[in-house]
Amino acid sequence: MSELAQRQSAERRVWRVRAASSHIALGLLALVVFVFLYAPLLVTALYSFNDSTAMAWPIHKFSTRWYHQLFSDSQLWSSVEHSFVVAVAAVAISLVFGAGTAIVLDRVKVVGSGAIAALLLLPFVIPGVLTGLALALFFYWIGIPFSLATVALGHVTFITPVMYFLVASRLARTDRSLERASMDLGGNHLRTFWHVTLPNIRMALIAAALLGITLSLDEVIITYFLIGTSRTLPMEIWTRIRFGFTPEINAVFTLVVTASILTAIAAGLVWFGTGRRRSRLPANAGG
Amino acid sequence: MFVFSLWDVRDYRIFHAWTPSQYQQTIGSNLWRVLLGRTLMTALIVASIATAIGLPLAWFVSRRLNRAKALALVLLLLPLWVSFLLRAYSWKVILGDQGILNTFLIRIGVISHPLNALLYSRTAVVIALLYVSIPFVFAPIFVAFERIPNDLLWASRDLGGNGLRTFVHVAIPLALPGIVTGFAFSFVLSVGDFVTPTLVGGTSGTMVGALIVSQFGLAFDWPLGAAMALVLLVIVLVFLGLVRRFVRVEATFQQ
Repeated sequence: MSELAQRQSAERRVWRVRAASSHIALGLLALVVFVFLYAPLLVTALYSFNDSTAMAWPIHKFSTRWYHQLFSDSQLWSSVEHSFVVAVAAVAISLVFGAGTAIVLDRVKVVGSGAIAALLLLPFVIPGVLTGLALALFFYWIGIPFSLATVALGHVTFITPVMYFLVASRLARTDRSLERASMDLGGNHLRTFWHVTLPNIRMALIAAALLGITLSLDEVIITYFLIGTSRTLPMEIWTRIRFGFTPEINAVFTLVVTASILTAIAAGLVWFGTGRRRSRLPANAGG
Repeated sequence: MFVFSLWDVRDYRIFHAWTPSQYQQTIGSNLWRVLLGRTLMTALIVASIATAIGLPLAWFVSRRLNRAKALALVLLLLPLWVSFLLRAYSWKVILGDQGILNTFLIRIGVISHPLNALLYSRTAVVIALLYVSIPFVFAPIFVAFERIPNDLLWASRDLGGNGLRTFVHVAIPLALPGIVTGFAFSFVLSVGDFVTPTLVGGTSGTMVGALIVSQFGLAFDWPLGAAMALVLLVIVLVFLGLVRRFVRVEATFQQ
């Protein structure tokens, strides 16, 4: 065996060891991040069953008393109700705005459609404090009193971009010839939209609506500026935890997190599930 | 879209006196300068650490995992939908005076007195903001890595580049738009947050977001708050403008 071959095999061994060690290092990093991300959530869930009012370690006795207390807390329940009213209203309006803009921009190649998309994204990247404040001053200026309606309008500003991007990316993947076929077969614009375009993006709309609802149910910063006398759930929690804390909040959070994770998973399944089916569509498009 | 028009509206409603005095007061204020400096520093630190963690993490999930990839992806993105309030609040509970970490450390005998420094400090704010930021940073970098064709990486290997060199000289430059976007997300998120600093920062961790909010609550000085907000907005827009010189942020959302 030549010296060169020996050296090469030695180099290869070193390379393999390095690759393996980098693999382990990266794996460890990932593990640490997972623990970092999930430990606080698990801790909160665990302590929601803690009988004591002190959040100390270890837990001496488990109970469900905070959950019992929670279910008889009428102030909390009315805030949940307010949150849902706001979420549904905000999502409905955003759906029209976001999906509408996506459809129009997909069809009409206006000059500056890129600028419009960037403008739509702006409320999404600008800190909520600024959006909230600007809206508060605006409503104050035109004389609209703060209420759940102003909160819903505030939520529209950041849900609309989500709607727009989800619908736009789905539209970019749909086949326009289907619509042309519908028009050729005598369908008018309305019928084509209703029977061809809408079914194509239906699942994207559902996924976007689900995500919009979770985003809205959770929003505090913009809400803070626009809230009237009736509080939404996050505002109710915020006022309670701002100074000190009540163990009841652990139970509220555990329920909220479970609900929002399930909703997010549902939205993900709807989105990716239909995405995959669509790619197979051409094979059985006749059916 | 209509939101954008509101930015101008702000000026002529609140500044009916048309004086620049609010701005003079803002810029001249010591408190404002201290807090702004602290806010920008904190946001930069958070964004840098988040990117430093998110970068190798995204590489690992994108290129080293096969079967566990989808699961890892879901686990990393799920916290994005978890209550924002909770994510700050849980750190308050963990780091608190009588909190879990302190009582645990006393229990196992590492320390004898609770460490007050854990909660209500800048460190606590950085940790909590980092916690919120990581998924936001991870997502765009991951997408960027996913888009790199395998051929390019193999080519680098074939030409004698080892794993690290391939990563540094091929993968990172190609993924730069995603990396910059992730950094920007984290920065903007941290700059404007008033919930996290209020909950875990105490007085030593307060940031401009909280100061602006207090002009609308306790201080009731709306014009001053608006002036501060406008200055912050300009800073954010300049920052985003710089970012846009590198990448089209909205491209990250398109498939």
